[in-house]
Amino acid sequence: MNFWMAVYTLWKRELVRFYRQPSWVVGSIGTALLFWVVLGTGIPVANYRAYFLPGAIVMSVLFSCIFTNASVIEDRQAGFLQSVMVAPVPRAAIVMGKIMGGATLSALQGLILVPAALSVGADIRFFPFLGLVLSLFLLSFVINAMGFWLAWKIESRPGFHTLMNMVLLPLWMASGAVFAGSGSSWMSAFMKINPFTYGVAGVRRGLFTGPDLSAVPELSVCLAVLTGFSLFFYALSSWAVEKTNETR
Amino acid sequence: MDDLIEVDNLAYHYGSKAALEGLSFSVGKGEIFGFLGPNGGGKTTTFKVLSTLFSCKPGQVKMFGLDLSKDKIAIRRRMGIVFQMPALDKQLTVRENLEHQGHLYGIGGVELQKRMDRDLDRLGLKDRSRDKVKTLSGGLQRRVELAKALLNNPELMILDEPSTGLDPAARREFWNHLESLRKEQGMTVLVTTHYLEEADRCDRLLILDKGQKVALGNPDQLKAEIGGEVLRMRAKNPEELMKAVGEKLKVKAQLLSGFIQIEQPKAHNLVAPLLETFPNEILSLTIGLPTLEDVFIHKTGRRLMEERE
Repeated sequence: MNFWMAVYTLWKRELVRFYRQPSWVVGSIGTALLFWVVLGTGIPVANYRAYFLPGAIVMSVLFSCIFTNASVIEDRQAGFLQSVMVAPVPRAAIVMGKIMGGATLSALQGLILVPAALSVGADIRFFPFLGLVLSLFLLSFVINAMGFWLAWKIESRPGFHTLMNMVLLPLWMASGAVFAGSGSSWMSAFMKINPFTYGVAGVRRGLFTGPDLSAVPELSVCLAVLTGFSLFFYALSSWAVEKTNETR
Repeated sequence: MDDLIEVDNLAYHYGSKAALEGLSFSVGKGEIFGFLGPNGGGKTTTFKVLSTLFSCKPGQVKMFGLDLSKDKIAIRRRMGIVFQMPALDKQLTVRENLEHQGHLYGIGGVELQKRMDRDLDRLGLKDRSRDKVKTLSGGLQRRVELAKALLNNPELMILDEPSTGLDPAARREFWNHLESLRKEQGMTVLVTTHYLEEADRCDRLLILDKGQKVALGNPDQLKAEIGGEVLRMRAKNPEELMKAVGEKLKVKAQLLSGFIQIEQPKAHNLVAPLLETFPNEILSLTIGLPTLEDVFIHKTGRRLMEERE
């Protein structure tokens, strides 16, 4: 009972903070939209704009995650987190609330780009779309949980940003967002174990249908893999917080 | 006296550096108990152990009769904590901050609304409750911190240098609130400070230096232990004058950060002889009853202030 009340209040706080900072909203959606328009138009491959859209949506999620997680560092430095840490709730609830808040925000920022799909001939149906929403949320959860863990370990905000970019951008590029497959066998293997691959695939399956998707992982596989990664990184973050004695 | 907190042989190390060593004390129900000491003296480390942020090994800490190393969650439920660093979300309103706190303590619905109204009223924050915290003055923000810590009806309130950064008026007001809480609710208050006037308002005081207990007792008693009066002089050549005072007047003097200090039952009798014997040496001379600063000097041979930065 206390667990979920704590999750709820931390989740809500993230949402309130977000909509009180409009530049944040505009920036993260704008970046992905511009990326999509520029790359989608500029790359001379037939239908690239349609191909690239799931990648752009996931990119919007990615940027949002970096920012929501940087607030972990801010909270620690401002003392806000200290008062949460001494509340009579399990640490795992604190981690869950923070990650859920970030994941909700990030998923929403991805979803906002979905209407753009109508301009590139998307075929949106109810169940696949539900799959898209779930995939997007789960991928956001994975990235946020990963980011939380990293933010917990790092004291400097610029350092965190740089590291997140270093880890997340290659994962995003090698996810089927930019190119479908690779001639290199190690790259293909890397794409198979990359959680982003399953996020992008889940989104792609929610927007498009047809024979082009034969090489894209099934939705059920996407959801299962993403759930697995979510649990793993949530456990890792909770463990990191649990074993922390000193918070500065 | 019922002891609410019992600390036995507490130690804490940051790496190889000892922040606390063999600290033992107990705090009775309804007391305002203060920790006084220079920065790095061990106050904040003690606070962090008692607030459940740091573990208390080695040593044993019992709060409300519960073992701190085992019953953290149960202990947290029964106390309110005000940190030295601001712990409010400045993007949220006063009310939203309190609501957040209430939910963390498992309080919701009508009960939470009632308690919020009560505490906002009690601390004179009612008409600012819909304002974002970032628009509040430092003094008001501190009061919100206190209101937040009161929501769970704590039996014990612990505060880490709560009035740092406040002007003297805001500081006095904050303390008036603490005292009335103790009076009206019988709340036990534990507070760290490096302000002497705050330390003077405590029922009992633990003076810490270099992680160790230097003195423990009622502020007036501690001052009475020194006895007499304290005479302090500024001089052109403090060291020479100190020697000369010893030789010519047979008086024991100490040199403390440029001041010459003499502690004696009737130090005022020395004023005339001093001024007559060393007419051109003494720049200024003050005489007064011992302060807690003098207690600190008496016990450690150093000033409290010079450690502060």
